[in-house]
Amino acid sequence: MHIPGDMKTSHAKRGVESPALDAFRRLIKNKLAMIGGILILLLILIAIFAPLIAPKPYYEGDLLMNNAPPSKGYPLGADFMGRDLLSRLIYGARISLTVGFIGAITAFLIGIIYGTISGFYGGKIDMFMMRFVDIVYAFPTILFIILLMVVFKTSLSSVSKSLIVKAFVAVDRHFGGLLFIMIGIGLTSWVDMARLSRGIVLSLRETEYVQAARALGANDTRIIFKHLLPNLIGPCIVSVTLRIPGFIGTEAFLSFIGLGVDPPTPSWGMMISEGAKVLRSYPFQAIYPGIALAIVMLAFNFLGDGLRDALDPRLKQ
Amino acid sequence: MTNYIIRRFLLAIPTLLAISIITFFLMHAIPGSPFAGPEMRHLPPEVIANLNKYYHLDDPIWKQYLNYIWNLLHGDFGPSYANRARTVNDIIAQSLPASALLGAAALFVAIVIGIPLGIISSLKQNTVIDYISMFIAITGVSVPAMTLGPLLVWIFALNLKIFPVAQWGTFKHMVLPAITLGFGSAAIIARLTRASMLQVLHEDYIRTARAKGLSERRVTIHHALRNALIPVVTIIGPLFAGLITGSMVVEQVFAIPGMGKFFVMGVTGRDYPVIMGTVLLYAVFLILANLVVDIMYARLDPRIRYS
Repeated sequence: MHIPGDMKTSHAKRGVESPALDAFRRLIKNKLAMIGGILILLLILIAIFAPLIAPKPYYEGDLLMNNAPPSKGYPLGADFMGRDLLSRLIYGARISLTVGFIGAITAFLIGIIYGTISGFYGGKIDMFMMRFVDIVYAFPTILFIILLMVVFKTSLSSVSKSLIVKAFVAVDRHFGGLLFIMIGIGLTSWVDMARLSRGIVLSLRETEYVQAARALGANDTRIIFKHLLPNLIGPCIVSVTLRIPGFIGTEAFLSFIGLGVDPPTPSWGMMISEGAKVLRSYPFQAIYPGIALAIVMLAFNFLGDGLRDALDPRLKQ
Repeated sequence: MTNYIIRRFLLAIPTLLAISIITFFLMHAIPGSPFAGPEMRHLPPEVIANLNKYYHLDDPIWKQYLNYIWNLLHGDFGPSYANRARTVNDIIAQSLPASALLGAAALFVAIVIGIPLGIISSLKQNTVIDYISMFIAITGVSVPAMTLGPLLVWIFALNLKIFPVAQWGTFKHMVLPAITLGFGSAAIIARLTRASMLQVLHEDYIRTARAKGLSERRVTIHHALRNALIPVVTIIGPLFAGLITGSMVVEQVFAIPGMGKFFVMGVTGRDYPVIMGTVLLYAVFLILANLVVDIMYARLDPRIRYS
């Protein structure tokens, strides 16, 4: 799964069980983590093959079928515009998973680079970089994302004459409003990761094996890539996996309050908000996407918990 | 301690100022004006110019900001551009009580469900009870309010007809929204309480307490729980932030006349004073919650001394 390739082979050659392989064994034994992993794989497949699985297009419906109960052509019924709920649910997996993974990747890359630099070079650089993190941290994240979304969404497209802005808006339109959500999440998600990796680097920097490497003449780049990063990856993967449900939840929340994807993009959050309007009469229009959302978040939490137990057996009671 | 509290209050001022500045300038960074929306399109440009002048939107932005802060210091949150019959003060006075009550009820649910669930599963570690409560907890962490709300409505309001579907007012109206909003936090508290209790239960002083012949009940409550709760208290501050965003969802699902609706409407309608007012109120609550947590932290753990 998350095994750095070179580690695996080099240890295997010497016939020693690598820590990563060991962790992988422990992960496979964890039933809940495996359920989570399999669910995620299934969802990825559903998202990739959505056009083949979905019985109807997600963007247009039959107005004669609006709010229709489940029937032959509409396995879960239709929404207020007569669009097939099941098809929208299937396409919705694309939105949630994309946001989850892109959020994770940006948090991972920016956070680790930022934290490693800050922790490794220390001193004034560290002071300056961490003060900036503190400021970002003090600002309520969700309010910040909401404000960013407002700046991005409202009339930015209609007023700005800058070519770059126009290009961004065009890309955003093409992806149904996803781009700006991901920028919003990306701009805020890296902060925790930066703190985490800085903390680890700070303590690793003083360990004997790093000092030994330095005494042998290893330069900074070698120390960072050969000695620090491999030790960082584990805890950071755990942390990022456990934060994916948060990214998915943020997108759903933004779409729920009307600041997320543009209609007719089938975000589960938007479907819940549309369903909540007719909750009294057609409760399942909100319940189905709600359950889908909960399953994704549950799957990532199971997997993340399992990864944590597998990578750090001491934590397990 | 008093000194510490005073200093924390003073420290809150620059934080609030920073939040107000960022919010204000981000808001105004959006090109156009609040009176450029589609429903305003039929107005002649002279009228729009007059509206902008009336609300001082044609002033330089720093002047608008200073003006806003000056009025704020006099307790005036300004007018609402969208609801011209009401000021932001009116809106806050009408909607804050419902939101605050909802938040308090949710926090109550979170603590009353979360802590006992965590204690029970730690005392019955690795039994069926433990597994069931921790399964409930991990589910609770993953089930967002927007999933739980419609589900609870479907089960308890539409099928069992125990509670009303929506609206606000009596105790019965509060039950489902409070559970919806508080359940996720309850789950986090339960997991943390369990982990913390398990750690504390292995301490030497617990063995000593048992060796002294104290009843299991006394050991659990007075010796273990008191210490185990310290990390739990710290999480309540961050949880509060989650309650605020959650409340926007819950208010919409259950049609509760709270602040969330005005915030969202203010944001989409570019109603600057409404956005500023709600953001600042939310920020004040967040800062207060963190302060209360820090003070409780010191009360629970005498080793922590703020100077």
